[in-house]
Amino acid sequence: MATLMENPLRVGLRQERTPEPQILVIFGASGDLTMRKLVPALYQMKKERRLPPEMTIVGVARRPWSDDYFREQMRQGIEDFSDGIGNQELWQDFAAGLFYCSADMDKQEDYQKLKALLEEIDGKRGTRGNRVFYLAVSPNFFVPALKNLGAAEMLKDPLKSRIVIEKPFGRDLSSAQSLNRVVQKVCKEEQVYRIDHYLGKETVQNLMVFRFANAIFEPIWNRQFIDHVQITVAETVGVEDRAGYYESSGALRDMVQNHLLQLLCLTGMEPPNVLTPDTLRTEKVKVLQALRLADLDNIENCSVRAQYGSGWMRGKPVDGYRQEPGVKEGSTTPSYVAMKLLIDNWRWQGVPFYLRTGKRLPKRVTEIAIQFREVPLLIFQSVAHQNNVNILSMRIQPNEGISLRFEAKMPGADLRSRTVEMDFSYGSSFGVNTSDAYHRLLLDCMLGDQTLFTRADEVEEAWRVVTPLIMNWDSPALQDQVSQYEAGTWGPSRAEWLINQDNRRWRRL
Amino acid sequence: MTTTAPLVSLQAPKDVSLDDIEGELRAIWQQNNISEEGINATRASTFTLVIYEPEPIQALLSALGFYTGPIDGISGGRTTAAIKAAQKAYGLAETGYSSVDFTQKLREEVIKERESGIKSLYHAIDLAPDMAGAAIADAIALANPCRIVTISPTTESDEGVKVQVSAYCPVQKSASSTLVCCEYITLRGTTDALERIGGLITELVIPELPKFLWWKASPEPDFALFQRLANQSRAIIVDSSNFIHPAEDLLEVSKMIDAGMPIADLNWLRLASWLELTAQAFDPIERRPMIKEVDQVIVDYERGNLSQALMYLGWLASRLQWQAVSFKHEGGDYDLIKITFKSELKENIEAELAAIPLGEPGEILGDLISLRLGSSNTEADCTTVLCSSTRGCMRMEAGGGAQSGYIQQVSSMADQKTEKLIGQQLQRSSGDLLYNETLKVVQEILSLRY
Repeated sequence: MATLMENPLRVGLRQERTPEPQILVIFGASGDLTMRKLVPALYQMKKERRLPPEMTIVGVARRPWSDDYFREQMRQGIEDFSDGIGNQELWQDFAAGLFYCSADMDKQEDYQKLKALLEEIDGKRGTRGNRVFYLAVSPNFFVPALKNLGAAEMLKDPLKSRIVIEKPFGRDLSSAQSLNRVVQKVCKEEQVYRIDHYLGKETVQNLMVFRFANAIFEPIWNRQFIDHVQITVAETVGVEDRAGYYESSGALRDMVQNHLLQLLCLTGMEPPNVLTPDTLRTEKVKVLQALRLADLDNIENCSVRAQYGSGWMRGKPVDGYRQEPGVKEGSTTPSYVAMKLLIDNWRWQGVPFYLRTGKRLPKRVTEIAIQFREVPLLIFQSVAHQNNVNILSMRIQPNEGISLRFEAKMPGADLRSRTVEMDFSYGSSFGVNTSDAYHRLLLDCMLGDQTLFTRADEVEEAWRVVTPLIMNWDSPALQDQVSQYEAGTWGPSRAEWLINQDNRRWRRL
Repeated sequence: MTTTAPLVSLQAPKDVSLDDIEGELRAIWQQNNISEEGINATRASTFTLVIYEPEPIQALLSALGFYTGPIDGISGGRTTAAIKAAQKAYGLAETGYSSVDFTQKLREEVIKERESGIKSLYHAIDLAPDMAGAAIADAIALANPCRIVTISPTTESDEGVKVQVSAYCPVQKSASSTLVCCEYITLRGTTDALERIGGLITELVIPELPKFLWWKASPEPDFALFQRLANQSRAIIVDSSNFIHPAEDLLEVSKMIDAGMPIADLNWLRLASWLELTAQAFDPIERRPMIKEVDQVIVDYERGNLSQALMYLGWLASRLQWQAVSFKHEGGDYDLIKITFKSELKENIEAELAAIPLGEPGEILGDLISLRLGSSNTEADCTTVLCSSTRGCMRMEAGGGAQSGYIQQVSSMADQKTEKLIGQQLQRSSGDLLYNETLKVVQEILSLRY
């Protein structure tokens, strides 16, 4: 899409909700996430005048960097991964609020050193003791960081200190529960922000607005009218250089337990009473509590795991998963997962939810498709002699928008029907590019709004749902038990069988 | 956001002496925290709101016994109930709103009472006519201030400064079992008397917490009391719909902004829908380039106060980078004001502000009625008409306006109570750059007049 001329009337119009002056302490500041996502998002907010002038960022990592080196690194990050510095003065102002503290996350003394530095900065910059601790580090460091922060009493004040934890939150139900217990010992639930960056996407939040700000969709959003729901998160990339991490997690932990189940929650939840963080998350927990795999006695009938084999992407041959660097010989880690879930409640009894996600699929697309039931009586002949149903598809990315497929009369002498699409697209309606998810999430952390973050019980319920699969798939298996599909195709034939046995088909996107 | 919440009274308004304000307030908290029978309540630690309220309504109603709440200058449910009760007692229309005539009537009644020595009916019977509104927290109480200091200048004889204290707690929906409450202190006296105790007033503000000043009168930067109260305030909140000489007062405000004072105008908040819908008119991709073609602006507003119209024009000009060139006050039925601008692309941009006389103006003076943006370039699809759904679009539709590209009805925010707007303003922790830029242009425009 060509660059859009900005609407000059829009600038500065949305002036509400600026966070209070605070210090954002980022653990893992030398890592990728900080340089690629966090600091560029913060700089973007600075450009949009959404940060208070006293905003301070303290990066913490083991490497012995200086304040200035850290600022240089961040500047590089903004140039490479965002729109660039823009106004030099603005950058100077922003950089004046960037500091660095070299600390080892396992050592108690280093936390005392950090605490002293933060108090000094409070005095210099006027940040009033407000702190947000962001754990942008590998999950092994979560527990020591939490314990040490608690021991140094840096999380004592529930109104002034918060902790933000990146995914993954645990490896399975028991580890998630024990991590939650550590968190609860150290601080209160209202101080914890567990990030699921899908919730920060405009289109995902739009799900709620679409369902609950419009009167016409809610009456048909149930088993009387819906035949089934398909949720697809397809990536074209392979495992690339993340094999070390991916081998121990797989598509189930990486995608399904968090992102896909969140999408499912938002699609399946009841309307909340008010839009407060807790009521909203309570509704999501309700759905998760009623959610289960379709056939718990025979999970092979309702779930498929697969790996991509060698194939073709964009005219070039690519390696299979097992040939990727860093992948163990004979690895059974699934890079593709498909499953059928059911929700046992009044609204959804009998409506199957088909989820699929995988790497090296033909297109990069994230979509929720709701297929409605067929007409009771077909009185029109379709021109193509097809049996066409209404499908409401919500494209999360790319080409963000919503489209409704319905039948219309084919122009001509006969009364025949043809499928057409009624489409809403973010690009043409709003004329703005949807902003990065981290942008919104960081702002909410700093404002103290927990709506877009997952709660302790939410995370545990999500783990509960996938536990049968985890137990089954973690146990050693023969290579052949994991299906293979050619890279660049939509999945293994077993995945087709999974849905075809119900007389339904996967959407071809 | 909670829009209503019940209100618990911790201490009904009590007259105290000047020297013992802090002592009396401390006694309220001790009573409620030490004894096991009192409510578990603490004072909030959020912000102090200082209100300068020259309107004597609450004081008059209180003198006549209709109003038993704190004289805080906040027009909440209780004040409305008291106004209605007074209107009923004196045989006036029960609107719940005060007016110049109503205030006059109250003044007469107070003088009558004082002269005859007979207390009104409402004093004799221990009736509290304002109880109808007493249990609901107003929008300001919901923002949980820790202390509200109301300074109420009177025009009577100088009898020193009278002080009243009270405390109320809104019951919010949060899970905590402690009530978070607010102290109300009212200081009444002539402006001279108030200036005499200026130092004491400064001390009433709780240190280390932000302070807001709501100046419910025209801004007077040379007034010593104003300077004292404005000093160190996070925001100085005014309402230009109340300015007696809007143009001159807006010019004052713009000069104060230039001097770095953090002024916020509630009237600016009332423009929010108009600004957003104007921006929306140019959101669709096809329309965006058309914005450069706009060179005709007509703004209709309710006769009585041109602040909103002027600020809207200032905003448009600041966003589209127009420079004000001339200002002509033509007068006539609609009190027309014609302003011309020029920009990089356009030599002559014409703007017209028309004051439409209305039989029954609403509570807020000078609300926008409708506006039309157009272009001398007939090929450009940039004609935009916005009209208030209460007053209608008919004037804008004349002259081909009904055939314009974009017409939108605006549900006006005129019925949004001022207290709600203050509640919104208090949530903001930083200044509004857009407002500052708009006022700069307004200053430009008004300097052409004088």
